[in-house]
Parts: sequence; C-alpha cells; structure tokens
Amino acid sequence: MLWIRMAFLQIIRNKGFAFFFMFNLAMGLAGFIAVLSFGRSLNRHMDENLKEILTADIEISSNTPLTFEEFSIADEVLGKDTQKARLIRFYTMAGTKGDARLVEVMAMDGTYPLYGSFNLLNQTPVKALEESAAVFMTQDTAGVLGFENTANEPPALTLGGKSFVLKDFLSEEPGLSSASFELAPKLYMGIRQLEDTGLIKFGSRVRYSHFFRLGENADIPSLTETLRARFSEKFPGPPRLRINDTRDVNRRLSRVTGYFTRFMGLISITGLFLSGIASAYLFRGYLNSRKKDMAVLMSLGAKKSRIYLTISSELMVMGTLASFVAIIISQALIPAFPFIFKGLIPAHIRIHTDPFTLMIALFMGVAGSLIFCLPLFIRIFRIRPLMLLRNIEETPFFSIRTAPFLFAGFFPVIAAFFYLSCLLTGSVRDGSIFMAGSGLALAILSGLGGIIFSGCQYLSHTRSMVRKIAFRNLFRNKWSSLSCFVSIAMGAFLISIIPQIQKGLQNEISRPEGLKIPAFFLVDIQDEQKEPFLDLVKQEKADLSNFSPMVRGRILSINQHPFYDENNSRSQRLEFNFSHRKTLDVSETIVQGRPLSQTPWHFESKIPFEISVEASFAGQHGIALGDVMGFEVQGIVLEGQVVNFRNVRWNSFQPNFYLLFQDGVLDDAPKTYLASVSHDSVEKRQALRQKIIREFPNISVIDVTRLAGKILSITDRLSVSVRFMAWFSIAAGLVLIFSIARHEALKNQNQINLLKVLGAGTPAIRSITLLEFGFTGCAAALAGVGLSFCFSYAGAWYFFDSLWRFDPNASILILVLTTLISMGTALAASGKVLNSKPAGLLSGLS
Amino acid sequence: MILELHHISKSYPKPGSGSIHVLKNISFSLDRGDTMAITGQSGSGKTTLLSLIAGLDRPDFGQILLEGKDISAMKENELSQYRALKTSIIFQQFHLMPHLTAEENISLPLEILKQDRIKELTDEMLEKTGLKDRRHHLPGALSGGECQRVAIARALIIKPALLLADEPTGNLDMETGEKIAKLLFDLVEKENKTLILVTHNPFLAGQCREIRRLEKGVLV
Amino acid sequence: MKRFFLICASFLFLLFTPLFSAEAPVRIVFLGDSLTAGLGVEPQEAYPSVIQEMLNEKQISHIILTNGSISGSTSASAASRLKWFLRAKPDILVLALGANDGLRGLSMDEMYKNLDNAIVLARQNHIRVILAGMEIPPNYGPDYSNAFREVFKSLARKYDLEFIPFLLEGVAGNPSLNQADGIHPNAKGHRVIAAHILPFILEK
Repeated sequence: MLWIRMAFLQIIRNKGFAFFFMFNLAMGLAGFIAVLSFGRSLNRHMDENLKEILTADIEISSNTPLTFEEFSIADEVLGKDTQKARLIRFYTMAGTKGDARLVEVMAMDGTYPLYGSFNLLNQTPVKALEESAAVFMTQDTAGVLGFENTANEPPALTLGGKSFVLKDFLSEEPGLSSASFELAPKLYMGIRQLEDTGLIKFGSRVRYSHFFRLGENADIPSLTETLRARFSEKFPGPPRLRINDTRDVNRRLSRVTGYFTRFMGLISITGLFLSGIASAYLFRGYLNSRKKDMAVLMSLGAKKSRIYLTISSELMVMGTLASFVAIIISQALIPAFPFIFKGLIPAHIRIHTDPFTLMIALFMGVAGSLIFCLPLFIRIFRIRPLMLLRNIEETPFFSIRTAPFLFAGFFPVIAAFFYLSCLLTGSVRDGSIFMAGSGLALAILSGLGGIIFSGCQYLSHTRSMVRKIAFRNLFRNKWSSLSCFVSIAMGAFLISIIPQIQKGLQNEISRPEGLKIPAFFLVDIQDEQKEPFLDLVKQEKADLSNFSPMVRGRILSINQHPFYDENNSRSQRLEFNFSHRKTLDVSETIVQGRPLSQTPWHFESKIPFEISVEASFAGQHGIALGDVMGFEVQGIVLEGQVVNFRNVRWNSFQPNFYLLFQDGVLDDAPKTYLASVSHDSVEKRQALRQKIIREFPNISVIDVTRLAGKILSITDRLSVSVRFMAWFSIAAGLVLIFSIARHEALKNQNQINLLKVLGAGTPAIRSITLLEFGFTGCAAALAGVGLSFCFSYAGAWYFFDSLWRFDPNASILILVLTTLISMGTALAASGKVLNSKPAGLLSGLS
Repeated sequence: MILELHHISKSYPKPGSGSIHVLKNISFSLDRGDTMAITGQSGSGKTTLLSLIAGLDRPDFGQILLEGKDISAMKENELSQYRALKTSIIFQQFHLMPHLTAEENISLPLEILKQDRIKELTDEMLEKTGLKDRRHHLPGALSGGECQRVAIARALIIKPALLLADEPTGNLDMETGEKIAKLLFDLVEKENKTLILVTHNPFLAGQCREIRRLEKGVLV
Repeated sequence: MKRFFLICASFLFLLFTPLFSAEAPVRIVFLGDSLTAGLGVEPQEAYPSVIQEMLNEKQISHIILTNGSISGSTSASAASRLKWFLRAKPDILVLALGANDGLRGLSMDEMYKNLDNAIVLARQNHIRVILAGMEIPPNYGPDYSNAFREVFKSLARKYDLEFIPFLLEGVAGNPSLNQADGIHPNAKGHRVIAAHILPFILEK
C-alpha cells in the first residue's frame, strides 16, 4: 500500500506530465474499447439474424420421429434447461374444391419459433392454432389457393380428412430453412391438430424438426460437434439425424458470415495491437523520463527491486486511472454512436460493451504497465548509475550473455499478446499466425527504419540549415527516431491491412451492380418447350437470365482414380449437373487457367473436351488444373480435362453449375433447361407465375424472392458494417498515431528552446520540426502501408480465400493523414514552446 | 556604451493573488570590455535580470539598450535575430545538443545564422578552448569541464557584443571550475568582450571588474 | 475400371449387334428417375445393373440392359428421351417415371398425357412397354394419391401393358432398405427391387 501512496504522491507532484500521459493512454484505450465493442456487437447482431433464420441455436431433424434414446442423448449434451420447440413439415395437396395445389404444411407446437416471431394481419394470437383446427398463411398463398373473397365467411380448406379454417394472414413468418427454395407456399397449423388429418402414416414423407435454444454463453459449434459425435458413436453408419446450427443455415451465407467474424476478429486484434503499441510507447516514454530519478535512487543504494516497485506502482496507478477514464469515456459515448453513425451502421443494432472488452482494456492499462516496461527495466538495470547521470543516449546492445535476460523480459509481453490474440480470434492457429505476422512486420519495419535513419546522414549533407539540422537530428537520434518510426509504421501497417481486406470482402458480399434479383427459379423446362417458353417470357416482358441446359451425370474418376471410394472423404454424392454456356454469366469470373475453347468438341475426337470447374468445388475435391476427369452421361463414358477454375458471385442468386463443359459435348444428351426470372412489378410477378404454370404445367416454379430478400438484407448489413468498421478502426488507429506523435513532440521541447536561444527564428524552428516529424511520419506510413500490401495479400489468401482488392484510396488517405497528423501535432506542440519564453533554460527558473 | 539599463522593473503574478516585485528600478551601464558579476541570494532576482538582458523576457517598465538599440521595444522576430547576433549565454547545465558532437555543437549557431567560414571559425574555437582532440565526441562522452568548454566555444563563435553567463561553474568541481573560469576570463579579455556573470561563487565574482549585489530586487 | 467397361460395353452392345450371341439379343431400356438411376448408390448397385447381374448368374447373356434414368426427371421428358434411345433400337422399354411429378404436386392430367405420348412413341417403334407404377406418400392426401395411382392403372389398361403396380413394393417406408433421406433405396433396397422386377423381364 505504501508503494501506491508513494506513486500517487509522485503523480500529484508531476501533475502536468502525468495528466498528459494518462490522457494519451486513455484516448488509445477508449478507441480500442469502441472498436472492440462495435465489432463484437455487430457480430452478435449478425449471429442473431442467423438464429432467427434457423429459429434456434441447434436443430435436429429426421424423417421419422426421434426415439427416446435419441432424445436422452440430446438432453444429456445440451442440458435439461434448454428451451425446445417442435415442428413437423410435409408437402400435401390442398385447396378449394377440385383445384388442389401443392402446399407445405408446417405443424408447430406452442413454443415455435425460439427466435423470431409471427406477425399477423389481425393480431390473432398464435395460440389459436393449438386450440382449434385453424391455419395461417400469407395473402399471396391465399390467392394462389383460390381464397379470393374472404370477407363474408371464414374460408375453410380440407387437409386430409379434416377441415381447417383460415384464421388470419401472415405478414411476417419466422425462419427460413436451408431448404427454403420455396417449392410450395406454406400453411401453419398446430401440431395437435395433425393427427386427425390422417396424413401422417406409414410411408408418409415427413420431416420432424426439434429446435433448441441454449443459454447466452453456450459454445454452439462445439455442442453441435459433440452431438454429431455422440450420435454417430451410438448409431454407426450413415447418420439418420441431421444436426444443424446457424452455420448450416445457408452454406454460402455462413461462409460470408464466417469471413465477417474473422474480419471482426482481425479488427479487434488490430485494435489490441495498436493500443498495445501505443501504451508500450507511452509507458516507455514515461520510464525514460524517470531514468534520472532511478539513477539517483540507485546511487543512493536503493535496491533494484525497490526501484522497480516504485516506478511500476506509478505506472500501474496511472494505467489504472487511464483505463477507468477510457471506460467512462467509451461508456458515455458508445450509446450515442447509433445516432452519430446513423445510416452508416445497420439500424436497430444494440451496441454495448461486454465485460470481456472492459477486462482487456483494464488489463492493458494495469498489467500492461508492468509487462510492457519489463524489457526496458532489464536494459536500464544493466547500466551503471553513473552512466545514467550523464546524458548518454544508450544504444541497445546485444550479447550472448545478456540475451536470455532480454528474452525473459520480452516473454511476458509475448505471452500476454499471444493469449489475447488467441482469445480474440477464437483459435490458437489464427492467433499464432497473427502474432508471427506482427513479429515479422515489426522486424521488417525496424530493419527498414534503421536503414532509413542511417540514410538521413547523407540527406544531412546539405547547405540548407533546416534540412541539415532536421536530418542530422534524425540520424543522430537514431534509436529514439526508430522507436517513434516503428510505432507509427506499425500503426499505419495495421490499419491499412484492414481496407485491403475490407475491399475484397466488400466485393464478395455486396450486391453485384445492376443485378436483378431473380424472383423465380424455373426448373425442368424440356428441350421442346424451349422456344415456346422463351416466347412467353418475351411477351410478358420479364427478365430471363441464365437460361442454361442441364444434363445429369456422374463423375467417375479424376486422373483414373475413382471419384468416390470408402477410403477418401469425398461425399458420396455421385450425380452432378453439367451445363454449357457460350459466354460466362456476369456473376462468374475465371480465377485460374484459360477460357473454354469456343470450337465445338466432337465425339470422334480422341482428345478430352475442356471443363471449367467452380473454384470451391475444385478445392473441396482436390481437383487441379490439367486433371483428366471421367464422366458418365446417360450410359456414355466421356473424358474431359480441367482448363480453368471459376469463381461465382454467389449472391447474384443465379443458377450456377460446378462443372461447365466445352461446346458440343452436351448437344445431343437428354437435357432439361433451367432459368431464373425476375420482374420489376410484384403483381406482374404473380401473374407471370400463374401463366407459366398454366402453359407449362411440368415446369416447377421455385419462389426465391423471400430467400433472396432475406439473404440480401443480411449481406447488405454485413457490407455496411464491414465498411464502417474498417473506417472506424482507421480513425481509432489515427488517434493512436496522434497520441504517439504528441508524446514525441513534447520530448522535443528542450531542443526547440535551445535553438531559439541560439538564434533560430520561429519559421526555421517550425520548418525543422515539420521536416523532422513529417519525414518520420511519412516514411513510417509509407513503410507501413507498403508492407501492409504484402501482408494483407497473404492474410487474404490464408483467411479470406484470396478476397483481396487493391485499395489505393484508403492507402493514400492513411499515408497523407499519418504524415499530416505527425506534422500537425508536432507543430502544435512546438507552437506552445515557441510562444513561451525560453527562460526555462536558465538555472534558477527550471 | 554596449549595454544600458534604465529603470528596469519586473514583477510576476503570485500564485493566489497579487504579484511579486522581482526587480525594482534597476539602472546601470556597461562599456566594451567591462565585466560585471551579479551576486545575491537565491530568489533575489539574478536570473530574472539575466533573462531580461538576454532578451528572453521583457521588463514591465524601463529600457534596455544594446549597442544603443532598445531591445525591450523590439518585435519578437527582430528581437530573436538581434539576440542571436549580439548576445550569447553560457548555462549552468551546459545545454548542449546531446546528439551532436563537440564540433557540431560549436558550429550550430553559425549554421542557424547561415554564416560563412563555419569550418574555419569552428577549428579556431576548438583550438582556443583546447578541444581539438575531443571534436568528434558526443557530450555524453565528455567530462563536465569539457562540456562547459564546448558551451563557451559555442557562445563565443558568433563574436557577440555581450556575453552572459549563468553560474558557469555551478555544475563543476572546484578544480575544474577554476580552470573553466580562467579560460572564460582569458578569452573575454583577449577578445575584449563585455561579460555579465551571475553567480554565488565569490571567487568567480572576484575576477570581474565590477561586482554588484541584488537584494530584494534592488541592485546595491 | 470394371464398371467403366461395363457401362461402355452395355452401350456399345446396344448400338451394334453383337456377333457372338447365340440367341437374338433383347435390348431393354430403363427410362426412370433417381429411383432407377440409383441416386446415392454406386452405378452398379442400381437395380437395373443388379438385374443384369442376376441374368448373368442365370447364364442369360442375350438380354442387354441400359439405364437411361435421370435423377429429378419428370414424365415431361419421357418422349424426348425415348427418341434419343430409339437409335439403339431397343426391344423393351421399362417406363419408370412419374414419382417426381407426384412429389412436386404436378397436374395428373399432364402426367397422363406425357406418359401416354411416350407409350405411343414406343409402340410406333415396335417397342414393348413395361410400365412401372408408383405410389405417392400418404401425406399428399387420399384424393391426390388415388388420382396418381389411377394414371398408371388406366394407362396399363388402355394399352394392355405389362404392369408393375408399385416399383418400390416392400421397399418404401422400410428404414433398413432406404437411405437416410427416407425416399431413395439403398443398395439393399435396390436388390429387393431387382428381385421384384426380374420376373416381369423374364416373362418377356
């Protein structure tokens, strides 16, 4: 306690500097808290969206009811106190007399949905479904089923052997399962009403779903894995139960939300490193300013441990105060953010700081002071007190003997950062990669800085007084210049990694420009229906896209190895759809290899035809360019060679194929056509649908409007969030650079005073300061930004499936702003000194 | 006359309220080659007087004429230029640039004032102060005496009309202090400089032609 | 490699008259959907291949089977697909389409027409037709199920066809004979179907 009191005394006596130090540190930490809170809140928001789509945390479904044994396994793994809901879904024919239509019945219990909700036009309580033979449907569905006039009497429809009353219309229904290519409109009814319909009996094709909602902090992915493992252990062979969590909601959407989570992880960890660099820099600065006192204490015979305790108590007290200030500032500001950033972040998002974030911020402030300064303490304690009394700029030196001590000093820092990295990225592997990457970047930037400041010696050989003095200062103060350079460069490096990846991610997430979201997928258009169908679409002025032939066949082999055998992990799916297109769709780009040949392939030719493979499919099945693949189409064995990999803009919502064949291969094969249709007007859309069904009854019209709408609304939000977070963290990073520059500028005061006394005019002193700081800031930003290109490219390749875009605007902005901030803060700090009288140099007034 | 002070008064606001009269109606003049020591207790206003003469601060009342020009009425830019050309200060704490060598520290004022013959003049000053073999050393590698020699060389290199010294031996041991004082007075005499010395040290003050004592803001 | 050869061979045999057959060859084409194509099982495990195997075991080598089934196909494609196989001059057509029409709730009148067209085309080309009937799961409601069943029955009556009332007899609804999806037979299921169909073929 004595140490804390002493520390407080020291801080109070040294008010000015202590306040300055704490302000800088608090600013850095507040920025970090804000970034982390934002990132985690947005992530949670997206997670909740996915949960609403699944309506649960975990869904277990199967074709037959779950057995008692299966239930008890689920209860055992998920815990007894989970909320549960049950849904039975199946297709049936329903409608008004004589004209039955395919509908999907959703028979649910009272607790469904666990996330999300029903919205009914007349606010009928959902419980009504349980108590009476009633159904809910949308007005669209009612129209399709022929319930035109519902004003006079409540319409009824027969399902199996029972009559149901249409109680209310849905304006919003919960959930959107993975299979929600809506082959048929949905009807909701109570699960208790199901039995009397007589539709569920031996041979019925029914899906039984059980939904589970777990506690806030449940680790859902790992519970899902445990469940899968437990079931497959108990019931070997092909799994009977399908166990899904939010990751399975939509394969591609979850890939994108996976990127998003990683991106937020990247941002948080960047924030962590930035605030770490800034606080380390500030702590070190403070320690350097107290070096003399330490030397005095040492010369007075104080034990090193006692000095360490004294100084670190001071640091800890200031760090703690700073983190509390940061927490107070951030807590005061964060609730206002949704208003400040209205339109820039998704609406209705609750942004709050979780205890985890606050703990890390506190840790940075409190423990950071100790662990960041440990290496410096070790270095200082190796120096004799006498040396400290003189004004020696000690140069770090290295020897085998002292290396272990130095390493020991760095070990806690490295360990702490490693732990936090793993915590923030959620995986040891990602954390290690980020740590290693940062270490490498630090080493490269330090080397680069060394070269740059050595080079300043040559720049100082000039007749210009300003340049001579400025560059000589930089060169001679190499070590202190270097630490400033490395801190700023690391800051610039970290923040400019983000926009490169953000740009790539944005490109992947955002809606393709000018894209018409298809309303329907049309499946099973026969060869002979092709012409009349195209005519109809033309007449109706609908937009038809991607009219593609579809031929079904099997992949037999890759390079003579069977495509599927029991030993490899390839899916047992053997049948695939093959297609051909003269020109690639706008949503497709070739990422590797050359385009398919336009010359039709002939059956007689001995050479294999050319294949274009979708990139993720190739990755999943280990297909390489040049591989020869064997196929069987309708009894005919064919051989083709992979000539390119294709990327598909998945959110274009266009029918796409894993495999495209060269022209001519599929010409004679029995095939059907697939197309997507969009129409600007909602009413005409329904009319078009009716017309297609009437004229081509075999064509299945799959309504994708709702799916596309929901997914696009999520991806739009993701896209907005990604952009916002990128800019927000750049801003936070620049604030940190500002605090570093401010500190560095303050150190410069004495020099400015002396120059003034020696006769340098204000303009000259300003020029020297501007040149010194501008050069350091600009060189650091250049080095950081330049390095970030390479690193972000590597990072994008590893973490984000090569989603990388060159973003010159953000880089130039970071470069310019870093330079300007360095110059501006230095100028502001020097201005204060310039305006004051240099009398402080005199003995009596210091 | 090199320097004339007419009725100089200076007061500082007191923390709390009111103000402290540090200097009260001080007048004196010095001619070329004059050396004057100002002694007095701590807080008697020595350093304030020095900072006014050096042009680092301005008096509340009175005039300071340096070579006949009223520096207390000059604009800031004019003043800094004039100050740099006409006066030099030697500090107790030396105030050398820690990252510059002895030679670079000495030549710094010439560089700032963009003067010619830098190399020649610097070599001359190194010679005069006996620092020839220490020219490439950084201040950290120099002894206290050597540091003050560098400071003296730096002060004299611009050939100022008025040399000001603030406890120049205050940070040195007795023996070194004496050596430095000898060097300073030798150079002042050889170059016929005007010197104002602020010190507690009676031995140092005794080497000046004139010794004045400040008592509660009044020169006696 | 064996199965490549098998498939290759079967199609080639179908196209060119084999020179070494003792009896005149009988070519049978299966026109079906995923149930006949063998979705989710190896190609040689699909019931037409199993039937071929069974014939081989019985030393019957003049019957050559071709599986022209496409997963997901509906009755609408029947006639056009048959045209493609006409080049091979089949003697018998096993028509096993309709399940997808039913599952998708398509119009029964359309299905009737489609299958009718295919049967007429086969007859014009002197191909004998074995019609495989289907059942629709009970959840589609009794009316639709009955209408569905009736399509096959009435076509069989109209053209006096060799009729298999239910392709998945004894297989549908039995978890041990079906894959996890509950609708596609597994390898064991396909063997049951093969055993069920074989007598109809041998009769011819």
